[in-house]
Parts: sequence; C-alpha cells; structure tokens
Amino acid sequence: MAAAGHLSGGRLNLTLLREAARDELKAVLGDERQKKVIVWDESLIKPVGLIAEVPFLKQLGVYKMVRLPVSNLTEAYPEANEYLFFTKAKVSMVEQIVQSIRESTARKQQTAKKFTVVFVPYATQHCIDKFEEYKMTNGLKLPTFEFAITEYRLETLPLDSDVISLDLSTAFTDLYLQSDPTVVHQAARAIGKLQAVFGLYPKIVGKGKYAKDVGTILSRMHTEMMANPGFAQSLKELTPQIDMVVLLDRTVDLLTPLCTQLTYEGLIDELYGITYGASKFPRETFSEDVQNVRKGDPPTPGPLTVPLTSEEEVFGKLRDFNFRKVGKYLSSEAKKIKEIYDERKKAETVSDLKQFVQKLPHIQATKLSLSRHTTIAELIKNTTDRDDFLGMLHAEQCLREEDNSDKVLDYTEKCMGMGEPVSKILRLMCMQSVANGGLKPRLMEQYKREILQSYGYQHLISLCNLEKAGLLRLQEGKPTFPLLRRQLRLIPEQIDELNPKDISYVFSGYAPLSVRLVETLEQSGYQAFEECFARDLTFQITQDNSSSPAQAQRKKRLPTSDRPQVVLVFFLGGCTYAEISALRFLSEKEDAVTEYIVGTTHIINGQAMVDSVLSETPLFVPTHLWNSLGDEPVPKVTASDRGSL
Amino acid sequence: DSGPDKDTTVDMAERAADIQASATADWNPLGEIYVKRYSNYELDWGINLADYLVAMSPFAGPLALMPKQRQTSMKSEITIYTLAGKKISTITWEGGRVIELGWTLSENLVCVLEDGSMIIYDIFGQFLYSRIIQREIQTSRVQECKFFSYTDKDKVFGGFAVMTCNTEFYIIVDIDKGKDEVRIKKLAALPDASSKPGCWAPLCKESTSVIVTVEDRVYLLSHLDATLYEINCGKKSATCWMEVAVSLNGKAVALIDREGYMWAGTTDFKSSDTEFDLQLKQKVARVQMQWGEMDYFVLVIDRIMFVKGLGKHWCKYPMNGPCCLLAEVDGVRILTNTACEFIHRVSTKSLNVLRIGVMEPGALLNDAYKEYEGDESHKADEFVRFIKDKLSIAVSQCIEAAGEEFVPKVQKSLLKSANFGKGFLGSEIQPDLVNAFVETCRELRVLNSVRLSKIGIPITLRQYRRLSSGVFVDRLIYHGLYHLALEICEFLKIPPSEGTVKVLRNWALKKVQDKSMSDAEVAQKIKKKLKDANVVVSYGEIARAAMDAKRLTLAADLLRNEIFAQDQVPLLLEMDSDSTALEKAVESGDPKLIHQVLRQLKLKLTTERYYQMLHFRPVAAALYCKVLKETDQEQLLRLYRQESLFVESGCMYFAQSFTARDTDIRKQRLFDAQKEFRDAQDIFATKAIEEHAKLTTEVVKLGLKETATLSEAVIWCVKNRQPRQAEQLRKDFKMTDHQYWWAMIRGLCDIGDYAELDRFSKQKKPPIGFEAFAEVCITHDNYREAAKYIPKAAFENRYHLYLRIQDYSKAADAAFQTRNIGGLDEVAIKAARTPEIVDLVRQMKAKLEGR
Repeated sequence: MAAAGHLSGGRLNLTLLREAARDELKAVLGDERQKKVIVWDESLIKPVGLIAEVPFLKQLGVYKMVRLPVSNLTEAYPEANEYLFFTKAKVSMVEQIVQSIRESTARKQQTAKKFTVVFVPYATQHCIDKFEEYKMTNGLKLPTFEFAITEYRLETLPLDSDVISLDLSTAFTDLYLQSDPTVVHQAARAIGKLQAVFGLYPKIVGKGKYAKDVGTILSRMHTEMMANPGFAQSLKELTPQIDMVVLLDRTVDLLTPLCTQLTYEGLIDELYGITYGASKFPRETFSEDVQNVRKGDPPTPGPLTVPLTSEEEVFGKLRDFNFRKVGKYLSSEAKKIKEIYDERKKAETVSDLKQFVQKLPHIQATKLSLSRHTTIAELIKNTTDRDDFLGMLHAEQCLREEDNSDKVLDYTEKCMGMGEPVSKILRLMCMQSVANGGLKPRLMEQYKREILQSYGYQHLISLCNLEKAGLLRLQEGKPTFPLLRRQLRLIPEQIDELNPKDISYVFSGYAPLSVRLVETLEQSGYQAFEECFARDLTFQITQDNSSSPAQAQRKKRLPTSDRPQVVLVFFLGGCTYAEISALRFLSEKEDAVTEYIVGTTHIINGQAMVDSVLSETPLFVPTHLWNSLGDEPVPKVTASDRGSL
Repeated sequence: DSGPDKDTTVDMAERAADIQASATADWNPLGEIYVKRYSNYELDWGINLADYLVAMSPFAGPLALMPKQRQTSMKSEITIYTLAGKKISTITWEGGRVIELGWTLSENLVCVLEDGSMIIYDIFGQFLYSRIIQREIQTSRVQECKFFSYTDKDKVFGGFAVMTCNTEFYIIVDIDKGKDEVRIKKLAALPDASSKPGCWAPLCKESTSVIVTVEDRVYLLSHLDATLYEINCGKKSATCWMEVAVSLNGKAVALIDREGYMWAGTTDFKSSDTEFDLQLKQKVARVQMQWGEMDYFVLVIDRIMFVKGLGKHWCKYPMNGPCCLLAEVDGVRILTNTACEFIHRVSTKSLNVLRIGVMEPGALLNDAYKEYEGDESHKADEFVRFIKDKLSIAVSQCIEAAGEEFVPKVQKSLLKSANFGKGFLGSEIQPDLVNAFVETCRELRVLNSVRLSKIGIPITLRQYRRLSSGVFVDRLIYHGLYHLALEICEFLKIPPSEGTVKVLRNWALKKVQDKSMSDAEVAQKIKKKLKDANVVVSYGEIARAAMDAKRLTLAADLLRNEIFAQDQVPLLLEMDSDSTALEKAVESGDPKLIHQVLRQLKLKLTTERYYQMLHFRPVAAALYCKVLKETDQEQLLRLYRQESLFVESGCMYFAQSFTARDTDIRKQRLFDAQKEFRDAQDIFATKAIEEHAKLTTEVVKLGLKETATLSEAVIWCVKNRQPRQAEQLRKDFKMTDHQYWWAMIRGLCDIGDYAELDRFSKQKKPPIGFEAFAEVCITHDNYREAAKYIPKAAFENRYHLYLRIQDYSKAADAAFQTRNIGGLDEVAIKAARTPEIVDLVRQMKAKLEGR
C-alpha cells in the first residue's frame, strides 16, 4: 500500500475508496488462477494504474498487458485462458476490439478461449449493439469461443488525500456544448456511491442548473437506497464523515478557470500539464541525482516524468504557494539542509553522529526534492518572466478589475497580429465576455472578423461553439460580475503573496468567485449563499437520517477548529488547481472550522477548457500549453544558477 | 415466559407436576427407547378413508382426498384439506382414471392417470399444467404409482415413480419446475418380466432407483441395470415379499411377507438389523409400512398398528378403522377417520428431563423448580447446589425438552424451569444459551399458532428447523396465510427482504387477481397496506401482474407509485404510455434508461412522431443527438433541421466541407452550410462562408494551399513582392486595418526588407502604433531596426521596449520621463550587472521620490 500513502493523510481516508475500487477490480478479473491477458484502451492505463499497480494485477493472474489496437492476440499469447479488453464506451474502440477478436477466432483453436470486454466505467447500449451486429452477445458460449461483456465501475479516482476526480475528460463540452445528461448522472451516481463508504450526507447545497439536476438525482437515489432495507440499515449504522456537499456548476463561475493560475501547482499545469498526479519536464535540465542516473552514463531519452502528489513533503508544501513564494521557500529550506550538514561536522560524540545518521535518509530525500523543485521553478520562471506572459497577466488583471475595459482590445489585436495561438486569443475573448456579461455587438463582430481573417474561416465553428457553451455572448442586461466583484470582495485592496490572508493570493489579487461562494456559505450561511446570484438555481437538501443515533449525536455539536466539519465541494464541469489550493487555504486557516475535500468531474485550466470547445473545429490542433515540451529550446540551468530565484 | 405466576404456590406445584406427568403418560417403552403417539386433531369430517385415494404431504402439509373410482369415466371430486380436516379447495374431476395422488415439495398436487398423463394443481385447485409423462406409457398404461421424498442432511428431493402394466418403471422428478422441465427416467427392465412383482418402492440415494420384489427375489432397478440381491434371511421356506418400505434418507429398507415375517436392514441388503416373525395366523391382504427414524418403523396390519424397534422389541396399538401413514423426518403421521396423529420416538432431549428417575442435570433443575414453586425452596436450593457445575447444561436441556412438546402448558412449564436455572447463572451466562432460550420461545410461539386447528399445520420443531424459517414463511404465503406470515416475520425478526417484503409482494400479486373488488378498491388497499408496513415492494411487479390480469387501469394506478424508474419505465412502454415512459426516464436522469426508451420508441413510432416526442424533451434529444453524432450524421442533420437548429446544422455542413474527400461534395457542403446559416438568419456567418469560398479560390490561384488564411495570404504576397495583390486582398475581404498592418510588418520583417518597412511606417500614421514595428523587429532579433521605431512609440511604452532591446540607459531615461518608478525598478533588476545603470537608476528614483 506504499503506493497510495498520499491518500490517507487527510481527514477523510480516501484509501478506502481505492480499496473499494481494488476489490471491484478483483471481482471483475475473477479467478486468479486463470492466466489473463489485458488489452488496454490507452486512455485507461493511467487512471486504472492509480488504483492497481502492476504487481497487484499480476497477483490477480494478469501475466501480459498490451494496448489497442492489437493483432495476433491469441497467437502471440497462446497460453492465456482469458483475454480482457478494458475500454471506454466508444464505438471506435469497440470496432478495434471486434477486429482483434474476429481475427483471433478466424484461426482454428485447440482450446476454448474466453474474451471479455470490460467497459470502464459504463457500457453504453449502442456499444453493446455494435458487438451484437457481429453476433457477439454477452454470455455467448461456443465450444472454442466464449464472450462476455461487463463493466468496471471505476467512477471516482482519488487523486490526492483531499481530491477526487471522476476523470471525465470531456465533461465540460458534454455538459455545456452537447447538453448531454450522462455526465450529470455519472456525477450523481459517483457522489451518491461515496455514501456507502462515508455515510449519508446530512446536507446537500448547490448552485447552477446542472448542480440542481445532480441534487435532484441524489435525492431520488436517497429514496431508492432507503427502499432497500438492508442497505438503508447499513447506511444508518455508518457515522457520516462528510457533513455537507456543495455542488457547483461550472457556469456559476466561468471566469476563474479562464484566468492564468499563479500557484505553483497551477502554473505547472498551465505550462506543462499535469495528468494523474504527474508531469513531464525536459530531462536534461535536472541534476543527475534527480534524473536517477549515475555520472557518466548515457542520457535516457525522452522527458522526465515527475510525480506530483502530497506524498512528497516538499511538493505538499509548495503546491499551494503563490509562485512568488516558491523561490524563497526553496532557498530557505536549502539553507536548513546545509545547516544540518554543517552540524555533522561539529558532531563530536558517537551518539551525535548516530543521531545524524538516523536522520540521513529523510534529509537526503528532502535534498533531492528541493533540487527537483528548484529546477522546475527555474523552468517556470523562464516563462513567467517572458514579456508575452506578463502582458497576458496584465490583460487578465484589467479584465477582472475594470468594467468594460477596452484596453485589452489592443493587446488582443496585437496577439492576433503576431500570430499567437488562436486558443490564447479566444481565451482572452471569452474572459472579456464573461467578465463584462457579454461583448458589445460591434466589438463582437470586430473580434470575429479578425479571428476568421487571421486564423481561418473554420473558426466560425469555434465561435459558434464558444457561444453555445456560454463562454462568448452578446452583452445584454446588467452584467453581474462587476456587482459580485464588490459584493464578494473579489479584488482585495492589498495583496501579500508571501503571507496571504485571503484566498485571492492564488491569482495574485483575485479571489476565485467559486471558492468565495463556498467561503460565504461557511461564514454567512445558506441564505447569503443563495442570495449572491442565480437564486432560482440555488438549492438545499437535507437527507433525514434522524433515526441514526450517530447522526443525532453529530447534529448536536457545532464544528470547532479542533473538530472541524468536513465539506465536499464538487465542481461539475471541472475545477482548477488554483481553486483546490484556495479551498486548502480555507481549511488550513488558523481558526478554520471546516475541512474541505474537493471533488470534480475533471481537472481543467483555461486553455484546456477553450481547446475542448474547439475540438470540433476542422484543422484545429491544440497547442494549449505555454511550454509543451520541445516548443522552444529551454535554457539549461546550471548548478551555479540555482538559488538565484 | 418468565417469572412465576401470581396463583397460590401450592396450586402451582400441583399443576407443574400434573402437567408434566401428562406429558409422559403416553410414553410406550420399546426396548431402550420410548415411543409416543399423540393426537394432533380430532377429525369430525365424516370421511371413511377406505373409500378414498389419500395423499398426505410431508412437513405437515395439506392432504388430498378423492373417492376411489370404480369406473373410468365417472365424474368425481378431489378435495384438499388441512390436516385438521378443514377444507381448502375442491377440484371437479371429469378426466380419466386417477391411479395416484401425491404432493410435490412445493405443495402442488399431482394426479397421475392411468393413461400416462399427469395433471398438476396448486392447493387452491388452480390448474397449473398437464402433460403426458412419456409416449410409451400412454400405450402401456400406468398400473401403479408411488410418490417419494428424500431427506438427508441438507438435501431435499422428491418425485414419483410409476409402474406400467407391462412392468416397466419410470422415475419422474423436477415437477415443480414446470411442464417442460419435468425430468423422466426410464429404469432398466425387470429380469423376471413375465412374473408379477410382489411389491416395490422407489429408493433415493445418489440416483433414484426402484426396489422390486418378485416372490422371494429382490431386484434393484437403476437407470442402467437390474441387480438381484440375495437376502440372507433366517426363514428358510420360500418367502413371498408383500410390502417394502424405504427410509427417507434411503439408507434403510424393511420387507415383510404374507406370513408376517419381517426383514429390515441396509439398502445394500448386506446387513440386517432385524429379523422378526409376527407369525400371523392368516395371510393378510394389505400391509402398510413406513419408517420412522432409522431405529423403528410402523406397520398397520388389519386393525393393529405395530411399532417395530430394532432387535426383538415391538409394541402395538389398536386401530379403530382404516388409516394412512406418512413418514416424516422425525416420526410417522397417521391419518384415521377420526384423528390426525403423530407417532414418534421420544427424543433424548425429552428423556433427559422428563423420564422418571433420571439424574440428568436438566431433570434435577426441573425438579428444583417444581420444589421452588411448591414453596420448598430449601429443597430447590439443594437440587440446584447439586448441579451447580452443570447448570448451563441443565438449562439447555430444559430448553431442548420444551421444544419437543406439542402442549403449550408443558412447553411453558419446562421453559420456566430453564428460566429458573438461568437466574442462577447470573452474568456468567453464555450468550448462546440466552439466544437458544429466546429463539426457542419465539419458535414455539410460532409453532403453537400454526398448530391451532383453524390453521392446521401440526409441524414439529425439528421439522420446522429442517425446513428453515424462510421456506416456512414461503409455505404460509403459498397457503394464502398472509396475515399470519406477516406476524411471524415480524415476530421472528426475519429481515424484511426475506420476510415482510416477500409476504406483502405475494399478497399484492394475489390481490390484483381478486375480481370481487373494483380496480380503485384494490389499488387503494394495496397502497395502504404497503405504506403502513413501511417497506418498499416493487409496484412495477404488481402492476405487471395487474396487466396480465387485464386490469389496465389498476396497473397504471399502481405503476405511478413505483420509485425505481428502471422498474417503471419498461412497463409504461408496454402499456403504450410512451410519453409518460419517456418523461419518467428523463426524470430519473439515467441515460441508459432514456436510451432504452428511445430505442423502443424509434421502432414503434413513425419518424415524424418520434421527432415530435423529442421536441419537448431537450435532455432526451441531446442524448439522441450524441448517439447520432457517432453513428449517423445524415440523420442528425435531419433532426437539427426538424428542430430548427440551423446553426448546428450549418456548423456541421461547414465542418464537412473541410473534411469530405470529394471536391464536389465539399462544394456542396459549403453551399448547404450557407443555406442553413441563412435560415438561421445569421448574416455574419452567411457572409463569412461566402468570403471563405472566395478566399479559397484566391489562395489557390496564388499557389498557396487551400487552407491558407487571409493574413497568411497577405504575408505571402508581401514576401513575394506582390504588394498590389496584398492590397487587392485587403480590399476584397475588407481586412481590418489592424490585421493588415500587422501582416504587412510581419511579411516585410520576414524577408528582412527593412527599407520597405521604414517606408511603410511613414506612409501614414500606423493604426497599430509604432510599437508594433519595434515589436516585430525584436521578434526577428533585429534590435537595431527596432531602436528606430521606439522613439516614435507612445511615451509610456518606450522604457519597456528599450529594455527588450537591452538599451538600459535609454530604458531608464524613458521610465524616468514617465515617472514610472516600477519601471525603473525593473530596469535596475535587468541591468544588475551594469553598475553604472544601477547607479543611474538610483539617482533617478531619488529624484522622483524626492519630489
């Protein structure tokens, strides 16, 4: 279980979720004495990998893993009894699987071969239909061929000790572009299912259309669960570990994800992208001990994958800092390490020395961490010092702080003129639209013309889709954002990124609206939360479980900083690392009475969000990260440069 | 069940002793053991069993009577009773000649006819199914038929065997599974086919076979072969076996011949436990014989009932008239014209406590309690002290003894003794013992209530435990004793899913069949009952039953209460409530369910109607669109148009105009897209597509790739020294000033034509400012050229541009002039390695701040 150590640190033990998912996987794989080959839909390797590491799969009888598309499967691995295809429910994947199975069965078989398709997390009817077109029905049994279709309901991935994700990478477009209710249902099911582990939620609060839909399904599920006496009983016996769920529809706050995040983790995501708690960096920039190669060895090709979870102590601290604080922290920590080493020289007695040796592994690990993050911080700084980056930040700041700011127009046009990536321009446009409650008709038309002329007419589709998703629109009525800005103090008068007093530090002077809403709920109660805006889309559900003594007991006591309440904030349509950091900041405040757990359909950032809306645009190739690897040569950081941050 | 009553103590003592004395009064010694004959019910039904075919069922189930038929085609009746003689139902019989009646394990009545057919009814006389057992039997006719049940450890199994007129044997099992699931096995032929068998009986072990006797010979007929067994018996003269009985577990067999000579032993006929000769004076015509437990069996010959133990022991009881016997797991049931009785071995559990003179702890505890009640507490104390170390055993023995009794008074008396003993154990009592006490009390309460003659199920505790409470509740449900079943479920604390829910579900399923009540009444009644019980029973299932009973209004009414959409929606579809089905599916939010409805509707409805259905349901429509997007784009376009979603269809056509392989199709798609946008009244998009078409032609003419943008085209023109072309493009496409200037500058810088750039900058005041010139030069790493334009840029932007071309002194100057302290700081940082500049900046800052 060492691999999942980082999940158990929080108030809510998320390893329980992982354990449940492992058990379910075990059930899916069945008899461990059967030799199995797993064929992966590539996109599932990492998420399932978070749940089950390779040795665990081996224990379950898996002796070989390959990825789709695959050919000559049975010929290549004739000794297996069972071939399992793990796939998402996509027709294109189904076709690949069908092809592979048909090819295998076309040959004469000596022994019976069993093929099982495992949909993760759900099968869809038309995927099953697709199999049936080829006469492959679930449960088919022929002398030399058996076929089965099943599901592995891996709905919630615990990403860290306080973050769970449904890993629905297309959730944003599914919800706001396609109005597809599947995501709503999947989210409701996943949130509902957590109750089997963490007990019934006494209260569910939410804002936004889809949040409301999820709320409706959750109360429906509650009725259904209570209808099952056995289940109801076991639920009642569970002490609720989560006191409240706050459901937030992404459309409640579209501005925040469009802003460039300025926390350490947020910036890594903006610049390099983080997937499943790891990121890739140019290998050669790291010192050899970080790269884990011996001096003089030939360099390993390809980028270096760095795991980014709270398991690593240094990162656990750094991740939520504003980037400006990162350098200071790293150098002060480096100094401390140095002091410890110096102490050794002073060590005179044997017991002094012994004490030092005992601390050594920890010190060395910390030293390695510091070196790794110093390099990453250097890499980030190279970008954040760039004029175009600073220009962008300045533009964003204008948009957030000023009403109907036209200053940004010049900047945006300059970017277009210089031929910067179209998604960057669109991100700014969207931000301008969201902040001002839409664009004035003339401005909108001008922007549109310029986009089409500079980036091609296919972006007519991009623009239509951005409008559909609500990211772009014509101004009508009074914009709400300027109002909220004052009401919720989104722009602080003073900003101290080094010793923050307020969540606004995560964007160097802008408190993310979404998190401020949650803060309002905590401090001023439901009514204040309701009245902020979108009143008719705000709701509150109490799940009565008064017959449970554990519950009644819990009800009585008010949360205190010693015994804080636990609140799950769930974002429908994605959340950013900056928002997670802001919520952590609230949990860690000195007098905090609430500990926040973050749930989300998936993790997003502005570029990823805009790019996803552009996925239907022909000829569009996402270039969404500032520093996608190999974009431009990254200057090598030498040892002497370190510490100059 | 606890605490002494308030009567006077003397009375109590007498009563306890009396009560218990009555319990042992009818014990009859049989060698080492005792047998007890107990009458459960007096019958006052005016039936002479001699005139009837009788079928009893094990575990105190129902019994069926049919007048013996003398002629083949006589009208007749089959009547089903409880063992207390209460009529349950009557079946009017007009069929052929019934050879035998019998019961299946699920208490269905089987009639086996001479013509080789079998007919199955439930206990209410409802016809379930009929079938020909086997074609061959039809011609050979059935001569005899015997039902059997096999009970051993945790296996229960039953069926019947037939012997045809040409002495062929068949085994029939799995009758409860339904008409087509019945399994029939023909056994090997009898070697002495010509001679008439004396007697026969089915034998269940690993497989079912038949024991057949022909005169003195004993055969075992299995599926494959016939085996002749030598019986090593004491009687030398030729024996002609006339009856055979096999124990329920198939391990023991007993044979008797016409002279009353008996042989009993194992079913492999290798060892015998008993050989005994009744030495009957005259040959008897009929003997009934049934095994009790493994160590005794019961015979009825003429008017006498013998109970035969092992070895030489036996005892007899008088019989007043005809009777029928049935083996139970713990004894033999006896049905006579006037009573329903049960004969069984007194179990050790009873002996331990109740046998006179026994010194078991249980007996002593029982005595102690009797003394205590009789106010002889010092004696009681003595007894208790005597068994002090074995008090737990004593209590347990008393509890067990109580369980064996039929008479509530005796049960109570023994339980009181147990409770008395429990008191001495105090807190050291084992939880198991407490459980056993509570459990036995509960079970006895339940058994007592079903043993009442109005219910008529005289089941023993051992039989009940063998059945398990679940199966027992099932039986009550089957008997329609819902109310009782419900009470028992609650009393025994059976989990609702196996208890209350099951009972209510069956009750409701039955209720919808009740045509004596109106739909509204039935619905009302069901809803009330389910609500009161506070359990959730699937309304969907009940509604389906109502639908099957052709009560559609009732079905619809009930279905409205279903909370599980997945149970509700499919039925709504079946009821043709399409619109409600879709509505409910959408409400549930479950995409799988919505898909399911959509699929059904698509098959069922015309396209037009189907689209109409989607029209008011955006969620369903969105789901359908998503499917179509992956599978059928043409259909999707049709749907978009139908729904007047012209922007969507426009975008789709437009996208296709890029991706289609065929040039003609591309053109067509472009045309289509334009039409859609026109319909959407989107003037901007309509024009944009027109421009796009025009631009494509233009860029291809220029020799660029089709996908080149306007900016790219202009830049290309500049780079290729075709300024007029660039100008033309700008005019034709109304390129914005800004973008045109940017394109010009970039083009010129790309080819390094800075002279031309300079001229261009002087043409007129650049709409994008001189900053742009500097900016582009910088990106082309030409700081010298950039420097030319910076002085022309707006004041506030200069320091920054100077910084970028690393002219720090000018940068400092520019920042100073605009009083930009932040700017100065920035300069100082960038120029950290040039002390003069740092110094300069410091002076400037001092000046600015000094003021």
